[in-house]
Amino acid sequence: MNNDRTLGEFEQIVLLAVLRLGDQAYGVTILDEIAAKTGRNSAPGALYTTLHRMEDKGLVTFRDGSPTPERGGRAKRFVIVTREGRNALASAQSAYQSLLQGLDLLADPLVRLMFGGAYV
Amino acid sequence: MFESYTSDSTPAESFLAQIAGPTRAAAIMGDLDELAANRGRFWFWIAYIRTLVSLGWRTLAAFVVGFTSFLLMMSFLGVWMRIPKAIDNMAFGSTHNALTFLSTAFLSIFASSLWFAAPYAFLRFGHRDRMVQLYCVFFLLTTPFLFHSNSISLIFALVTFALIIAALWSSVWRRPMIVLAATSITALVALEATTDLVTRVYHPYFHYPHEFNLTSWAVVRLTAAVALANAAILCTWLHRRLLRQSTAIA
Repeated sequence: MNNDRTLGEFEQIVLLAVLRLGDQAYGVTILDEIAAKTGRNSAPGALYTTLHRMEDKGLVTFRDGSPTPERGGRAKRFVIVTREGRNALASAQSAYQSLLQGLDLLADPLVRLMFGGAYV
Repeated sequence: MFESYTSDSTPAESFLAQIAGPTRAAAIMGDLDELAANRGRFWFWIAYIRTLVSLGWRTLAAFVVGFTSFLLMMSFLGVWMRIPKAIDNMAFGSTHNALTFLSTAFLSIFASSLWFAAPYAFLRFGHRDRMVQLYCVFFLLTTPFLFHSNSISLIFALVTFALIIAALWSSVWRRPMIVLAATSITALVALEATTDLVTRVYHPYFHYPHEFNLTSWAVVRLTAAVALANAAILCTWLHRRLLRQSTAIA
C-alpha cells in the first residue's frame, strides 16, 4: 500500500460525505451531512484543514460556484473527489470490510441501540 | 433576510488569506457567514479564530523552528570563530586567493539564509515539495563544508553554483529555484537592512556588546525576526503563485 494515499478516519468521513452530496458538496453541506449521518458536530477548521491536506495529496479538487447573498457575496467552493481519492477511499474501506468479516459487530443489537442506526 | 458579517469581517478575511490564500479564504468566510445565520455573531468569531488556528499553527511553528535554527547556527558560528586558527582555516578567512575568497563568501552567505529558510520550508510545505527538496540539497552542500579548509569549501561552492545554474536551466526545477533564490535574497537583504537600521539608531557595537545587555539582545533578535518574517511571507506568496497547481476547474 502506498503510504502517501493512506487515509485517516476523518478524511474517509469527509470523502464519503462529499460523494454522497454529489455536485452540492461544499463546506456547509459537508458539515451538515457529517452531523446528520454520524452525529458528530465537526469544527469548520477541522474540515478545512482536512480538505486542504487532501487537496495537496491530490485526493480532491475544487470548482468555484456563483456568489450568493447569504454568504456575503462570496462564491461557494464545491469539492470534487478525484480518481486518486476514490481509489484511496475504496482501498481503506476494503481494509475495514476485511477486518469486520466474521465479527458480526454491526448485527449486535446493543450496537444498534447505542448508535441509533447512525452507523448501521 | 440573511444577516451577513461581511462589513466587519473584511480585514479578517485578508488576514486569513495570508495563510490560506485568497480563494480559500473567501470560500471559508462565505461558509462561516452562511453557518452564522442561525448561530449568531459570537459563534462566527469563535469559529473564525478556531479556523485560523487550525490552518495557521503549522506556519507559525515553521517560522519559530526556522528562526531558532538560524539563531543556533549563528551562535555556533560565533563560537567556532573564537577557536584559534579556525577563522584562518575557514574558507572566507582566506584573502590570499580572490577566487577562493569570492566563491566561499558566496557559500557562507547562501548557507546563512538556508539556516532559516530550509527548516521553515520543510515544516511549512512538507518533504514532497520540490522547493523543499532543493533546500535540503543546498543545505547539505553548503553548511557542513563551510567549516572546512579552503580547498574543500571552494569545491562545494563551485558545485552549489553549478547546481543553481542547472536548476534554472531545467523546466522542472526552474520555478522552485526562483522561489528559493527570492526567499534567500530577501532574507539576506532584510537582515542587512535591519542590522544597518539598528546600528544607526544605537551604535556600531550594539550587536556585539562587551557584556550581556538585555536591550541589545532583545532588539537584535526582534529585528532579525521581523526581517525573516518578510522572507517567510514572500516565500509563501511566491510558492502559492508559482508552485501550486490551479485548483479551480471549469
